[in-house]
Amino acid sequence: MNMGKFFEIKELSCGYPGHFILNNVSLIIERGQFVGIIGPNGSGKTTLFKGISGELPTLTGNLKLNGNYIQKMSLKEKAQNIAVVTQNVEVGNMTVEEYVLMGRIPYQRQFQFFETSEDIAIADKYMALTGISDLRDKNMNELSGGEQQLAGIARALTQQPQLLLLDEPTSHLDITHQVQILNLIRRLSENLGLTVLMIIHDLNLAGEYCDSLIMLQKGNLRKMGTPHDVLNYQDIEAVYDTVVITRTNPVSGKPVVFLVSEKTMKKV
Amino acid sequence: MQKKYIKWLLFVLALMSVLLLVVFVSLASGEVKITFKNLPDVLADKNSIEYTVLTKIRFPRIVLAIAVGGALSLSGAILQGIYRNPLVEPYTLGISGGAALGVAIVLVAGIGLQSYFMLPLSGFIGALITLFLVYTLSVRRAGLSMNSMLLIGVMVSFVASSAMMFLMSLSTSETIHNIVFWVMGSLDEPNSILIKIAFWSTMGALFISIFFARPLNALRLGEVKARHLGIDTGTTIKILFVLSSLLTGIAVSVAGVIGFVGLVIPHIIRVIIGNDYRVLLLGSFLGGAIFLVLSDTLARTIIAPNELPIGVITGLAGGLMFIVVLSRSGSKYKMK
Amino acid sequence: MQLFFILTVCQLNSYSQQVKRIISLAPSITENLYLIEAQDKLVGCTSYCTLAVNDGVQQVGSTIDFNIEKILLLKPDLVITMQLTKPQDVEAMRKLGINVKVFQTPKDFNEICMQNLEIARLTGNVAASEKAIAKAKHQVDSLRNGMKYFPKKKVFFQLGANPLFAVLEHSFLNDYIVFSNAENIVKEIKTGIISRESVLSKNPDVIFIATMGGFGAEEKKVWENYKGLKAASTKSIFLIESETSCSPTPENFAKAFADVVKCMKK
Repeated sequence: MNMGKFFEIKELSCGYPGHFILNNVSLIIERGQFVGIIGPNGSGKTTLFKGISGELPTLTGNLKLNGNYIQKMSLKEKAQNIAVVTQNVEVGNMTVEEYVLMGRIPYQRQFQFFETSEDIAIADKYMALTGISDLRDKNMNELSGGEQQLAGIARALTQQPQLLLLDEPTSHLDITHQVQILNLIRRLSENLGLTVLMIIHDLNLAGEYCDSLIMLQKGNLRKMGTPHDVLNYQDIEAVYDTVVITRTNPVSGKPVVFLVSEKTMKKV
Repeated sequence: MQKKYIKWLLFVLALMSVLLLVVFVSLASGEVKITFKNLPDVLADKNSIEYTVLTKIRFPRIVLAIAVGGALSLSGAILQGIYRNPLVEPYTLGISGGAALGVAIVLVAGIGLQSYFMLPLSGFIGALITLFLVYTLSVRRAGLSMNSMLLIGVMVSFVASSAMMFLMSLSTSETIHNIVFWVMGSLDEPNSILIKIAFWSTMGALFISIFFARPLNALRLGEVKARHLGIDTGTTIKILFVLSSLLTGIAVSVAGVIGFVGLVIPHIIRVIIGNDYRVLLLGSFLGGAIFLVLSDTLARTIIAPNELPIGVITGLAGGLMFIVVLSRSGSKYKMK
Repeated sequence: MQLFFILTVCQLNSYSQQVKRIISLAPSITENLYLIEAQDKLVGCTSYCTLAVNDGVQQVGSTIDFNIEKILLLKPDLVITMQLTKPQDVEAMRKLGINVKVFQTPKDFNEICMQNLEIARLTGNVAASEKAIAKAKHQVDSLRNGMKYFPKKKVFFQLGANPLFAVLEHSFLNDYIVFSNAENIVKEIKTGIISRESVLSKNPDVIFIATMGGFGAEEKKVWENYKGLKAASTKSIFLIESETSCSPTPENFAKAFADVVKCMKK
């Protein structure tokens, strides 16, 4: 396992003109880690992603990936190194195969009209890895939410990135698909050595699957560490302003967060 | 994958064959009788009226129809790609309004009408000024704002037509007549230099646009996601916008305002062959060429010896076709 | 019966003597008024009536678009206009008590003369009108006689470009062709917008182009470029001044017709 600063963010501030949301965030991620980003709405999670992917310009600070400044990379280079999967894979009238192949665009030349056989092979590989090979000829808008997410991940993988950014990939899915996708990502990060940054709402899933967690609060990095370090009731209550109870998952040993209803609390 | 490419190739070949067929039909249509039988005699006698009609009237019109029809459809396909909006066509951006206003100004002022280049030139300059206006007014900090461009284009269109009405209210009935008929569109352009310019610049634009087929495909996912894939959307959209505006400007300045072609043809091609820009660009071009050659043939034969303005035919036929196509494909049809 | 007739004529005479202030809403009407020497009665004209404008007559607008208040202020006894003016506007003037006379576009030379005479009857300049008409008719008739044995040619008379506009059979301009013992290639159609191919298919011997709006010279070049066109090969493509040929007064018609004949004989 490679140690060291694979992905380093230094004093990053970015956001929307007038009121910038992310304030001086610094963190280091090792290669191959599966990192979860948690925090309440408006804490800056998506802004952090947009700052990393370049969608929002950075106001201060810099980002380094494997020693190279991300801000200095061309759009193409960035796309070859960082892949983003958003919550909603809004695609219209194209087949799954066509969509997944779009991930090869960063590697294609301006006047290249057709995909190379290598492109097709890579797309096939990742469609198989994500289990959607049977859906290759189906229209994207005929897929279920979960299937679309898988397609999105397959497309991101064909970009053969070093860093994968996932924005709430499981929020709108049922538990079957949630587990399916998170298992897949876990496998990818271990087998392919892929570094994954995932925004996730569900604290329990975050605790179960992630190697480390980044907790954001009002645009600042409150805490970064293992799920055990981060998912304690003091930090959670401070950040989420909600009473919680923390325990340990009897099978995996990972931290679990229980919510308590108002009614129950009154009894206590 | 291979199957798809073969399907595309066959489709393009089919379109080319239809175009060829339509060209022959057009060459043979008209008051002067030129048929397959007497063709050799006609070609032999270079001083006959039939030869003149064939080479100096019908053939140039067909070439112009291909250029203008192709330019407008190609422009429409490109614009629908960058705006991801099915109602966008070359005219929505006010380009044709600006061109028409340029022509109206020159006609009312009565300057330089001795030269046949004056009207097309004024139309083209009008288009360029509009393009410049829409472009600069829409530039924001983060690049071009697509929504602003659309809104500004529509407003420019309105302002241009109001300005034209103002000018028409000041002019003689004869000038009004000229303006109105210019605006309604006509492929009756006797100047061969203009036709050559229109044709070759359109071909050049088609060639350039093919290079942007992949970026346009990426844009189908949205501007943000296209950037995530490494496409320089800012530059790409700027170039494509200018390209499509120039195409429109050339078409409008030579042939007047021929509506609906840029809106309807790309949609019809999409319904047949899908949304992939690698085939959609060339398909739209050919579709537009076919449509306009047919429309022009109708325009000059249907009420002979009178001639209908071609904008009337494209408007009616185009509109009807659009309704039929949309109602048939219904929910299956999606623009992106 | 005779008494009634005399009384009516006296009425007309006395009416025409009462017409002291005239407004003309068309350039051709203004020209007719000058021709019958009635210009001293002209108090209002359009901005396109060059003769009257140069003489300092008040402008009230154009045939289609005029200022009705200005017309009222000028207190006309009679307003004369052509059918181009909208019927609603004519009604509006009449409702305000203004006397309006509307002339249809003359269909031939004869009607041009009749209209001139009628204008003269309204203004009381009958003598001058009869003189002018006689002079014009004399000119036209002698030219016609000269063309009686002239070979019958096929003529295309172009009035406009973009769109291509032709002189039709029911227009007085058609008389230029008929009086020259020639044939208008455009027959039996209602509107004048025709295609170039139609013209070429009829292959006219002579083409006249009324030089409206500066298009004339370019149009001539275009026609001259068509090989196989008889008018091109015999160099019989002529520009005709539209100020005279298209303005229906007896004098203008005679002048323009003389031009036409001169060209036909070349």
